[in-house]
Amino acid sequence: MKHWQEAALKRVSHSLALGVLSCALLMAQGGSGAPDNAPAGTKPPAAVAGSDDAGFRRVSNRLLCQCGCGYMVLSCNHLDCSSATFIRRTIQTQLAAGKSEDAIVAGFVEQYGPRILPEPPRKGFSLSAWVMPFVVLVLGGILVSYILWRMKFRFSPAEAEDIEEPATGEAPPKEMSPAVIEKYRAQIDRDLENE
Amino acid sequence: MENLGSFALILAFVLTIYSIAASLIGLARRNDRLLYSSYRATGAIWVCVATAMGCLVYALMTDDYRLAYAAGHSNRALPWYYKISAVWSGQEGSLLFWSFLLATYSMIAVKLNHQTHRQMMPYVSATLMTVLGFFLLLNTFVVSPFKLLAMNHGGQMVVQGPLDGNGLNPLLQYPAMAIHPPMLYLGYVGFTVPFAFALATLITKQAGDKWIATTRRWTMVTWLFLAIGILLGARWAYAVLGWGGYWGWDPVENASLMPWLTGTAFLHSVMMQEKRGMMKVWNMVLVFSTFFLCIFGTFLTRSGVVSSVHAFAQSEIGAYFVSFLGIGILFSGWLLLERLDYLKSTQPLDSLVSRESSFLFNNLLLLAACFAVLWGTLFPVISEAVQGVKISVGAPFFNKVNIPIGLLLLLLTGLGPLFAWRKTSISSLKKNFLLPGVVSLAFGVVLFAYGVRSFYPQVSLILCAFVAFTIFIEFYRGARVIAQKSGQSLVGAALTLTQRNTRRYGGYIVHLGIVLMFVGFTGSAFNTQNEQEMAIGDKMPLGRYTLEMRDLKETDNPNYSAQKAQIVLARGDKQLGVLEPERRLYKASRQPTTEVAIRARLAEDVYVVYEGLSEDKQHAVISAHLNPLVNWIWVGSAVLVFGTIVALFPSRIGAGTKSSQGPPDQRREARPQTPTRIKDKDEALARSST
Repeated sequence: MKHWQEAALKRVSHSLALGVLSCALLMAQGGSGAPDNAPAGTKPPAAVAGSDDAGFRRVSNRLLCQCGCGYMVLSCNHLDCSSATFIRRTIQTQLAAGKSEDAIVAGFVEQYGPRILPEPPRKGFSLSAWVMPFVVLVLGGILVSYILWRMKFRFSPAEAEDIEEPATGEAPPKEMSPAVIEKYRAQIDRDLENE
Repeated sequence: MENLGSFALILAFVLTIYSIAASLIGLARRNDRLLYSSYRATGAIWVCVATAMGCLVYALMTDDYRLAYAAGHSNRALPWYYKISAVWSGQEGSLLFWSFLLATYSMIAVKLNHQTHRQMMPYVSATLMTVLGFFLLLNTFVVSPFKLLAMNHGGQMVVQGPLDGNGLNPLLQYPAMAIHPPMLYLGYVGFTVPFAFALATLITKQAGDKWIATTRRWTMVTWLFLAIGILLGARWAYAVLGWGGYWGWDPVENASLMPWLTGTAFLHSVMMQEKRGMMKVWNMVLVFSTFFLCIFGTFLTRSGVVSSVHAFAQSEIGAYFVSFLGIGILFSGWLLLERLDYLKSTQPLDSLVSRESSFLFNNLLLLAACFAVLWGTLFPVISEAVQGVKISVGAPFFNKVNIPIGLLLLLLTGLGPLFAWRKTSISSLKKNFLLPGVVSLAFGVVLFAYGVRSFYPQVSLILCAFVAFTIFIEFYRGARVIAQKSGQSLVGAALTLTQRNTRRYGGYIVHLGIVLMFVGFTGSAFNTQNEQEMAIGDKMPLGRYTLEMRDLKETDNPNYSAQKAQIVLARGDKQLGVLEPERRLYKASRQPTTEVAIRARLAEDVYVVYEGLSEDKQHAVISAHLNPLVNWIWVGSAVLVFGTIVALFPSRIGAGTKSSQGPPDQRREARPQTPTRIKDKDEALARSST
């Protein structure tokens, strides 16, 4: 994997959704195993001691928690989150059994569908999610270049003179005319160029 | 009290209709008294909406839980300031707050401008009142905040509330969160004013410059509020949510970012219209887009069309917003096409290599970023509609798409000031680019030597250095000229320079703020994290730090109970302090929260979260993050706010000149004996226009 991809993934792992709100709401609705007056609750460990911690972190950082919090499975800090707990345990078990990271992720995609991935797959219609912003950027760049070219070469001074300010019925502001200002601007530009 | 509030809202709605009708009829019949009456109605509407707001605040402050809204969003143990902030924590209250802000903006805009823009103001007023009327319609008939709770007593329904309310969401009980929504709303709502002026400009077939001059400060203030709102939200997410980050690309966050991006494009593009008479149509498109994105953001937050963690409860108001947006966009688009002939540019482009070109590309990048955010936000809905498959579009997508666009934008932030208006010669380009280019590349080499070798972080930091250096040069060159002429120190001369052209140099300060924020964003590429189950006395490594669990305490107060971990932070043998992350359980809502402990430094934050007890209840699960440079974001935010405030002040053309300071005889001495060549362009420009 290239450096920039690693960097982007690294950023991603620390830039997850503000999902605690809904996690906390889910918890408040009950169903958790935590005692009512125990604010701390319980949390399954993110990685079992002695397991392949780096591998666990990588895999759980490729999967989106399904509790609605918007976090990666690694980062969901929803106490007693049934989704994160189940996925974490499954990852640990499968890693311990020697399954490859890609195979584990593929297994989850098969089970949950592409929604468990934090980004659209790069195939089929979903590819357009990736492509469209850059298509728009390139087309926009072409359009801007065309507009600039047109403004530069298709706009004669005579045309400029033909354009009159429509009457507004209100008194024009008392200020220096644009022609005079432009004369001074041109002088300044020359002075600065010659500096 | 609820009757008074409801009546005030109905009266406000009726007055809004009256104001629209009076504006249009008064204009048609050239009846000044009717027009004046329509303007005065905006004041009466404000009184009515303020009364309704007062009634809701009173109900919250007096724990009147007969009101469903108060029962759902407050409780007796809630501190009084959070009871006030409960006004905007729910659907009904926040929509009323929106109406209140819009009524305030409308009243001020009409009061300030009805004498100076006599032709436009009836349409401005009618537009403002139409938008306000839409929100009052929702307040009055769809999601009233004054609905009462009733209980069944022996088969008869009696108005009665619970003894205590459900309480305010604990995650919202944080100072930044108390003011984050009002700031965002001030931003969202404020864009209605430039929108109304733009629409009035088109309707009255004016050339298109007057509305720009009138609404410049409105737009900047509104943009600033939106920026503050977004940044406070980011700070809240960082300090409260406990995941170590500040921006999660949630649909509701995205909804606030999109109008900010188009608003930023507008603030740049508008200069081309002011200085060169160009881009009149484009500015209309930008201000319309910004306004409709504000409404669209509100729709996203409240309709449930996309799943979001901090959306309001779903309700039927989505259809109202879609209708309003549809009608508004169609009408604005039609009007714009109809009036294209009145918006022709009056100046040709002198050169393709100019400040004008850089502004156009700047606009392109801002809009491309906005499109990427919009596209990603809506893509789950589009995907499900097209291929029937649910997919997620999370932070990885937004980061991957927006990082390159953001870096290009940062590059243009540095390049823009190096181009002159109208035309930039090759020699001038060489002169302007050489030093910043060399310095920033040298900085890149230093970074490489220090081990920063990932592509994006390195490019980002090099560009930050480039932009910062160009800003420094801009200040230095101008200040040097003034210092030579006036004998001031360079710092004093820089202040004088800023005073003489607040808009330009305030803008540079804003750019500097953006640079500092980019440094902070880049720092996240180097974040590290560790998590461990810790018993008392256990140690956990975190980069060059060590965290040692000293104690675990329990506390209790009327609002919440808490467990607090005491963790000693050390570097080597040196103890740096004690961090106390908490886990709270709020009693009214039975909702737990995380209270993060942060050791904040400019170089890095040590960010510790008490996640809870382990399954065997014998250990505390502690998650610790080392977040380099994150504080640069908050420092950059403050610089951005400061720069915008500077740009809002009027320029003082003669600031710092001896002729304006000393007595007459000294002034004579201060006058240059020989003609001085003009070196400072701004100074000269200022002279030329006075």
